[in-house]
Amino acid sequence: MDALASVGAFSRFCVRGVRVLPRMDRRETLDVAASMAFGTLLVTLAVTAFAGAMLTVQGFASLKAFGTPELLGMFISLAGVREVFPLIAAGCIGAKLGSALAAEVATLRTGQQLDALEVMGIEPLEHLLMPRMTAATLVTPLLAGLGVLCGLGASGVIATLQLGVDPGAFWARALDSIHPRDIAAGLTKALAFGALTGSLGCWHGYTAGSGPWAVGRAANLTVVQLMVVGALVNLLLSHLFYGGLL
Amino acid sequence: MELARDALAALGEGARDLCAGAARLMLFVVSVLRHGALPPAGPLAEQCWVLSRQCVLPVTLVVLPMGALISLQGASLIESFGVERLLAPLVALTAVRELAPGFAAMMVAMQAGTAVSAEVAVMRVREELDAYELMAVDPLRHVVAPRLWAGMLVAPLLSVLALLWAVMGAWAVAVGARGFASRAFLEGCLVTITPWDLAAMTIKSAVFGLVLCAVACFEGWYARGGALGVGRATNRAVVGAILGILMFNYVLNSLLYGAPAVFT
Amino acid sequence: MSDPVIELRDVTRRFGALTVLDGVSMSLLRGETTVIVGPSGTGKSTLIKLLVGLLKPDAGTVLVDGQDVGKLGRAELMRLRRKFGMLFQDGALFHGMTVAQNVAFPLRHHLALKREEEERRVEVALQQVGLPGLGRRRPDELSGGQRKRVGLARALVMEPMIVLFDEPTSGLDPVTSAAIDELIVDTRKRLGLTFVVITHDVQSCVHIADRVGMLWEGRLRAWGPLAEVTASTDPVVRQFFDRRSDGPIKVV
Repeated sequence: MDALASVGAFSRFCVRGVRVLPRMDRRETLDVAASMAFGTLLVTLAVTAFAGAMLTVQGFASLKAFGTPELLGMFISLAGVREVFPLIAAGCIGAKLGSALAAEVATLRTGQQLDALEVMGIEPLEHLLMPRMTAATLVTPLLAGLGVLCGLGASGVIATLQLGVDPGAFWARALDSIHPRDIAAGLTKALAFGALTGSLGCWHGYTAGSGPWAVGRAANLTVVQLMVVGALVNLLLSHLFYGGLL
Repeated sequence: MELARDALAALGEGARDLCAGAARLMLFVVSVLRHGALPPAGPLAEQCWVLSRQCVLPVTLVVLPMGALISLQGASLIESFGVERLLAPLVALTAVRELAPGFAAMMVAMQAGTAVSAEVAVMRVREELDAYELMAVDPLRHVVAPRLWAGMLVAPLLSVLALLWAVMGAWAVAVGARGFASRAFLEGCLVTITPWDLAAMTIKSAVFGLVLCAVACFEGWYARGGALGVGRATNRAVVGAILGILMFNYVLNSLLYGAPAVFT
Repeated sequence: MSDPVIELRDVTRRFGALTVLDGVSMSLLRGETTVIVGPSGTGKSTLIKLLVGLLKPDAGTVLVDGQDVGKLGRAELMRLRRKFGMLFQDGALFHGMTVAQNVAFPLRHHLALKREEEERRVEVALQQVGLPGLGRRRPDELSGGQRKRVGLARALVMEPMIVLFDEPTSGLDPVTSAAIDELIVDTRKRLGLTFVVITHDVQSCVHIADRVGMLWEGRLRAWGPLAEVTASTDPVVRQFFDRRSDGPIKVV
């Protein structure tokens, strides 16, 4: 019952957020988005580059066992570009942004700055929360896109320079196997994940209790729920785009 | 232009911080090992219980759909090659090598990064760690060591759980949605997974668990300044945990599966 | 009654470029309550951490019961610390434990007592601080004053030689502050221990001190018996004890 009630309260929070969208502080949104993007870029690129390298080395070993190593490019596109890179990029962006957002807003809550804003007649939703939710929603697809490119690039480097796959063949097969549908699916997933990150982070920060405890708890609830809900949403979107689940 | 310069500056700063942080983390782990390699049983049991309780349900909820997803995508990939009998081995190998230890580690990373780091940070900013010191009870042994050991012991158990759920999720989709034979699929999975794979999975997740909890305790230990400091510690711990999984996944895969070193 | 139990000789401690304590020397006598006062940021907390070896001095020596704290190894330091009890600013109670478990904590780790004996000593310690029967509460169910009392009970339960107080009245209302002051005076009379208190609460200082040291800009500006320091004509000391905003101490 409690869980249902909090889902209800969370939905009302999101609806209120969407309602104030026209009055949202745009400048704050851009500032927050820029700092989120720069702060998360390095870790996203590092993670996807490693993921690309790992996937290529392991995929090459398996394909060689089946006697079809020349399919590596196709494998990277189907497994990496479709699922692994976006998933890993989004997970890493979500964990970083979500925990940071929750901790930031929860700190404002414990320090009574949120109350101070309201007393001064400044609506926190318009000036603090919605800018952050919007920024997270916009920045996640951007970074995830860069992450996918980075993963693909890393795969290409490993495949051609280290594993000795012919560059022309690798890239031809890789690019052949990427459909516009894959790009649309990846962007949709990243948008959904970004919106989830922003809203969960702000919600748990906004509803945090008092004391230093509350900060850790807000960050914890955010990342755990983000991963659980994110995995489900990912599966559903994969089914919507590629079908085959039911 | 300015944007590019900002981005480069951010990259450079990040890389420098990372190296300095890694060195300090090593020193921290060494001092934990020197002062309290073996934790007292009570706190150890408590930490193991807390970590398992926090992780079991999320691991289940995350890994079931992931298992379903590999089955779904793997089936289309494999049907296009016409080698349906390979679905079970593909699922089993992905699950035992990457998915199970990876997602067990991810869940420990999320819990450690936010809950463990925040807890140790709160103990620091509220002077509880100083109180331990003052009462001549070593906080490295009584607070930090139990958490490191709990990470090392609980992560392998979670990875076994994750393996079971991943195969279950994959089986449900393969049999329920794609019409694979149930018995053949499960047998295919069982045959593929060797004892060595299980051992490697256990080792991998034990190392992950240790590293992640070490990062979390480290960030909490050096937290400063009230609620703000606690928030900063959790942020740094989350990022450190992600990078930690990444680097150790690479190193461990090279060692355990003999995958060729990527950068030679 | 007059042998020094703690001696500081030319103690200097820096944090980066900032010199927090600059050549401080003092001898604290056995059985006395010494109060160190001074405006915020003048090294009071640093001083107390130096006494128990939570920090090491950059120069000079800190002698506790004849031992040089800065030169002790970790094991010796841990032994030395059993002579201390400390009341932290907000109590520093362990959040996961009940009040009784908090007070019992040092006993359980250092003495292998029978359960009944342990419970008895915890109850005695709680009685001493005026909180009998509160053992089952959790720290976050207590008021600020109660948390400090529990902190004091935990500091006293090992029957230490020296008890340190970090801002014992900070964050409390005047009535509760006065009650904590009474408690400090009574406890010292009853147990005859050496107390070291750091505070910026002038009223509290006047109430509890035998001897007062005033720190200002990292140096010991005034030092002596309470009456002597409160009668001092030094403008810095006067400004502080008269609670005025105009004077040599600049408000930042």
